[in-house]
Amino acid sequence: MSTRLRAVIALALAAALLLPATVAGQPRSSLVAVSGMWSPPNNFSPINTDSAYGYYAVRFMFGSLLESRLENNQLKLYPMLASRWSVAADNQTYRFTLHPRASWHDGRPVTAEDVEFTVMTISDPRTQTNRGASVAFIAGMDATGKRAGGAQIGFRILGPKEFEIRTAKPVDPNFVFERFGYDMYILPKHVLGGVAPDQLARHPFFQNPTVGNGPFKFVQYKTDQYVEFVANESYHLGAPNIRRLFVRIIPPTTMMAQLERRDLDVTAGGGIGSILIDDWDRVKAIPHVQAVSYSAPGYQFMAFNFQRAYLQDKRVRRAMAHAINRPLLVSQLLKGEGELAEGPIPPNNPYFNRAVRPWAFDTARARALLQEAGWDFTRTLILRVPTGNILRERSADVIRENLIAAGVRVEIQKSDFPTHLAALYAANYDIGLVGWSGGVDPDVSSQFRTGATYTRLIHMSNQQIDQLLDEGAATADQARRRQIYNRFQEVFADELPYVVLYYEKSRAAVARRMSDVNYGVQGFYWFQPFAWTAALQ
Amino acid sequence: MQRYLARRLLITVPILLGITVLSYLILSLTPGDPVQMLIDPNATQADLEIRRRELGLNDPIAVRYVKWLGEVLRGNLGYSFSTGAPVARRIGERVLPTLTLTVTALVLSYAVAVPVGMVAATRRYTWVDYVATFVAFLGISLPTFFLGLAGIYIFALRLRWLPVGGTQTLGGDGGLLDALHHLVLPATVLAAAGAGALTRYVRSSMLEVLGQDYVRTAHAKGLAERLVVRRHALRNALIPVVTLAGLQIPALLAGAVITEQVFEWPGMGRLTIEAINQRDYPVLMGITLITAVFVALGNLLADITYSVVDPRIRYD
Repeated sequence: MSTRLRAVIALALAAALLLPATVAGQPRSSLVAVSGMWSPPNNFSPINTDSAYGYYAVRFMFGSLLESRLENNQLKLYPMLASRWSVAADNQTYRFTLHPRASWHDGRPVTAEDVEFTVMTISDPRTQTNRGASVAFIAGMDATGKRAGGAQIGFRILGPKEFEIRTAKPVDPNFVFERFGYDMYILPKHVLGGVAPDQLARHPFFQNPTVGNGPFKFVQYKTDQYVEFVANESYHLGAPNIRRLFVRIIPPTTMMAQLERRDLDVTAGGGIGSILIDDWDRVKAIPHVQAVSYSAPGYQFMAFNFQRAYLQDKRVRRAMAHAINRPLLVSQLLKGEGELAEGPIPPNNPYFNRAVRPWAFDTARARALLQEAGWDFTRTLILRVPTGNILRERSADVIRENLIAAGVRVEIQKSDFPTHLAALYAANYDIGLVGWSGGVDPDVSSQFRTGATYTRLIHMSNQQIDQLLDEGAATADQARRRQIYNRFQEVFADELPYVVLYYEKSRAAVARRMSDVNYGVQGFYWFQPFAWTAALQ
Repeated sequence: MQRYLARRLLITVPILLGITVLSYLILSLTPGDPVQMLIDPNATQADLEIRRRELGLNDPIAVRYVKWLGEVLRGNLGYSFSTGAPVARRIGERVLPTLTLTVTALVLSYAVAVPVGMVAATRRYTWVDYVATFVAFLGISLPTFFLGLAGIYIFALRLRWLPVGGTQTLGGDGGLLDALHHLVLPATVLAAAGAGALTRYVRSSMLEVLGQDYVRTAHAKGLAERLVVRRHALRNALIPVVTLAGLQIPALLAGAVITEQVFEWPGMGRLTIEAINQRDYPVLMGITLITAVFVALGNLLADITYSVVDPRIRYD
């Protein structure tokens, strides 16, 4: 009995294992490509998906007016839905012409009315959206991008495919192009026009967005597994070379295996589909894969709780900047795939101030500064660390050792991210680790202006910084703006609202059979998946 | 029996109510703000306020609970904070993949554990027993993620027999063969841990029965060893094991968090983790409620099974 049973089990297992061995590893056509990201999108709302995962999927289906990329440290704009644009001499009136053949996936043309509908939807106080910043500078909007009662909105339809916006004040055109031009995706008025704004977030369209205006059409979303797209053959910038495209949800731990098996062609990169640092050397060694690392605007920082009297002396904060061995974090923890800068403007940004150098790693200097500031060397600081980002967790141990060497006692407290964030907002910490990713424009008011996101995390208000940020946002002249933001970066390094630990380069991978996949300086604004080409493998 | 059943089912109602009150309270008191987790960090303070009002988070906990309960009684589990989709749909679309995985794993682990445990018991302290014990402990002590990654490395990467993850080939129409092919590795990995513990359980239960008088009687009657073991000992030894299956029903539905993560399996475990990370209260409450119902039913089922397989137990 027992031998027979065992034999049956063994046979059954073997048969199951070998079943359709043909399915794996079949050659992939040049018409199919697979991209991969770590987590599922929460919805496909172009104005309300809450994560970069959602926007990664949205960008295949929905277009913005423009895209841009850095060329010789200058922003160069490229047409997407808009084919022409112009700025009036006053830097307040912006005129856009939509591409004559730009159309929705159901064949209807994309019109100025669709753009107006999008702006009016975003600015409706009842709409759930996170795109307020895309319209906040338009005349008639309040600072959060909501329509102020009764005011005349600076949006005018000039023709079926032509419109202009008017800003409340003169603005740097690049700022408008970034926020309005490529941060905002246009909604179909003929599909969503009849929906009440407060019902929009739950509208089934955002789970099943069949009418887009981008190079790919939505086919289906297999929950937690993949999003399937098919080429939009009548895309106005040219039919995509790839006919079927999948965005697959792949956990970080198996991304390398998928690449090695040729099951994955393009990682999403950024903070949503990078190669784990521990797999990086192995991915670089896969012959049919190209490992690409590129500068990204995302960085990690150590926040100070300004409500603590003992952290208010800027010498103490600078001492900690000296104490932390940031070059080691980059060379060891990031295997060299990182950059250092003493502020929130990334080193690859056109407004980056090269004259501001990060404070050098110097334990003796740190100790001296602490003594000068009258630091109590028996005090123990709570360093709050969120779990989830392995590199960040590892960096906490280095930071702790470094600070102890300089005479600052540190105790690490780890928690999941929501708890961590709640503790920071409640000022229930001394120092804490957080990450951030910014845009191209140097305006960081949404973080550092008193009352903005990060000042509420670190409980800081700095008049000098507020003033510089207001001035920078209100200045249209680019040379003058550069001066202001140079000064801002000097002040930032001196005041140190927080210590930037490192800018992590994005570690992406592309199958060598793919070409024209653009990983740019600011990949987010230069996407162009209709140009992707795949070779038969 | 019928009165007993009716009584048990009636008691279940206040228990479920109590569970929802407690879990709603605990969830609401957990640090972490759902709106902070939802929103793009670039969103303005006004966007945040709208969102908070929209989700009804400004109400006191008691008011929110009563509103939630009222909706549930009308058959509406609410809407997910993070996706806006109905909670019932978010959970519903994950039930089948989870059950496919967990039930397969359960069947697999029983199919392995019962014969192995039986043989280990009848040949106690022989090399067969030692090998079975060794492998069982290996299954128990190796973490699932390690087994999973090792399985992927060997079968998906080196041998190329099996896919890395997912429930079907990309864009495929999900034929049975394709589905099975994707199921083998995750189900085996998930079964390994369960089978290890179960083998030990069967073995000790079997040993206990083998030492009993009626088994000796059977031997004395001159029955063949095979018959004694199979017909007399095994059936009794399986009574507690079968009960165990009833108690495992809620676990089946809750999903296998780690296995699902490693193998891109779109199940309940992943949904739970995702919902916790985003503090998606409606989804978490939905999962809690459904799991609670299944725990209650599973326990009831276990009790009934007892009386069926063991005539000594009766409910009046």
